[in-house]
Amino acid sequence: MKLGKWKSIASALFILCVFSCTTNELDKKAIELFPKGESPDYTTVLKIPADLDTLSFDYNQMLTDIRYVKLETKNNCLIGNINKILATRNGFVVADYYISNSIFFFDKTGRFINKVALKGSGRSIKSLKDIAYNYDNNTVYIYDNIGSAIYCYDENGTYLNRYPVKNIYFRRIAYLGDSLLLFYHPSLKERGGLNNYELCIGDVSGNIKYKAFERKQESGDGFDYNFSITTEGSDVYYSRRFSKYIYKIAKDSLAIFPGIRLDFPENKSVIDKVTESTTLPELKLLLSADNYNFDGEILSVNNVLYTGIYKKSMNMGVFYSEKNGRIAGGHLVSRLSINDTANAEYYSYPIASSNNEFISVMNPDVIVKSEQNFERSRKAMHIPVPHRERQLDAIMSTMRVDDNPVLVLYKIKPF
Amino acid sequence: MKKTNLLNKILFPALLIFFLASVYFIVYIRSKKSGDHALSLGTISLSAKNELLTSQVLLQSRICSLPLKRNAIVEDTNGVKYHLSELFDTTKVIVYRISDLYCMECVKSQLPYLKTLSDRLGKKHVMLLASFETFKEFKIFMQTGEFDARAYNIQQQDLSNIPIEALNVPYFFEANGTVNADYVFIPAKEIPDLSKAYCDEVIRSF
Repeated sequence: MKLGKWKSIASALFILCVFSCTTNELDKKAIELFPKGESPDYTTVLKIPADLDTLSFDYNQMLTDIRYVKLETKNNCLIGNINKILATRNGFVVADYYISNSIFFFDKTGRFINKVALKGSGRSIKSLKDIAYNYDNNTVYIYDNIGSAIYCYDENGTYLNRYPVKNIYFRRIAYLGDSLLLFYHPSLKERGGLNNYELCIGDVSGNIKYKAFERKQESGDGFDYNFSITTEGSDVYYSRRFSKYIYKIAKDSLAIFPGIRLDFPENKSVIDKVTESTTLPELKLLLSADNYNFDGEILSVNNVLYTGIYKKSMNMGVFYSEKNGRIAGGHLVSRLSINDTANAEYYSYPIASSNNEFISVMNPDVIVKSEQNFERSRKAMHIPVPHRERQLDAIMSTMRVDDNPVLVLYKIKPF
Repeated sequence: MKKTNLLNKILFPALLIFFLASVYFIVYIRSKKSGDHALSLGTISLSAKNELLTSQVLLQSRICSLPLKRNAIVEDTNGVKYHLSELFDTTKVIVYRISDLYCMECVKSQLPYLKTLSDRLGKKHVMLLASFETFKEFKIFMQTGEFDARAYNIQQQDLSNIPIEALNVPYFFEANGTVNADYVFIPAKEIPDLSKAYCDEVIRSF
């Protein structure tokens, strides 16, 4: 009897001992990654042409199925600067984190529905750090990093819930699917643990289940601030700072793999020159020199990928056809003759996408002034009035300097 | 029977002690490891802050009497235009210089201190000198922001002759009846104590 008792105690202790060593690791296991430096066969290689500086993108030739959504202008919905756009099932969510401190909700036609603002929202939201769209139940998450909470709204901006996120802070969030969120740059009050990782995955209350990418030393100068988590429908992409790989986060198997690799012209990119030992001043020199840089933004519509390439103060876009590997991009131009009809004007490269359209923005405050200058020159030089497609003409002829931006939704013609 | 007694009295208590010792050992190693890690990260954080502080002090000690462009045009929130010299004619003013090109979180982190200065010194002695790309952005920033004192928008290039502008960081300066930027202070959002100390000093010596 006594022997049986000791046996039970010993067995229980053994099991306890084994589980105490493994449970914590199981809960927050690192996601399996492909070995560093390896390029699996299925990685798309986006080859940046050596003559990108001389290439041009004729948007009137390349854009198709263009439609314009004029965001309604009212005193209570003035947008200062668009930081992020989410295309929801029935409309658009526009984030202006810093100028108006607000998240605006518009319907499909651009009619203003609601807004969440730091001032007068009726809630105790202290900061607007980032937003994410839960496409499973059509809700919008607003992350308040100072108030340590994620607020949940429906796509009309109606408040639904508040989830406290205790003792952990993030810089950006994205919805992965199956009620899981991707958090960029987790910070805990206590040192170690998740502080050492770039990404983690957990639920809306910040209960972390997975972690990935061991964090390099903090640069501490805004250089580690990452804007490169982009959500494309149900796909989430992530690119590390100064990396040529764009990782795709697959929600099904919770694996992270390099989906796209950028190949820059030889010895012409910041990325190829950065090593583990590159110091911050060296980084600054590289960025200010004549090198290509890539911030990790990626959009994808109908097998066409878009990414932004930067060089000094010059921003250029590149579209990549996944069907045939061709590239279109470079400086924006419009080569129309006097008798041609313009489909697009004042085009800028996309900043967001819906399921099957790229989304660019037209800023009336800039456009109206340019139009006034152009009108003066046109009259002085007796240049005929340009022909514009009906919807574009309606937008341009009613545009006022204080109007909210106009969203331009379109596809890219096969190239 | 003797064998069972031996197991009961020696082997299983020994096994129990071994397991307890193992558990203690694992817990000890883990706590030591995380403690060491915390210490090293803490040291890195402290040394980074010290480095930042040192660079700030070195930089700021070199900045004094930066001449501003007298005839630069500034615009208030109603769209009324002035020459920069008109703003600094006789009164001592603490100016907070911001731009939409700067890190906006850094810009916003100092607004509570600006409000403190405004409350203590009076609105006419505190000013926001901003550079927004468009007047619309400036107006919306002021309408929805947390700062309701005097504010003017100036073209970024009109201040480009001041070397400190190249740093692309928000800063405070004092204009004391001349069109010069004196006593420049570059805050850091990571060190709120520094901003608080600056505020206290400005209020004390005003």
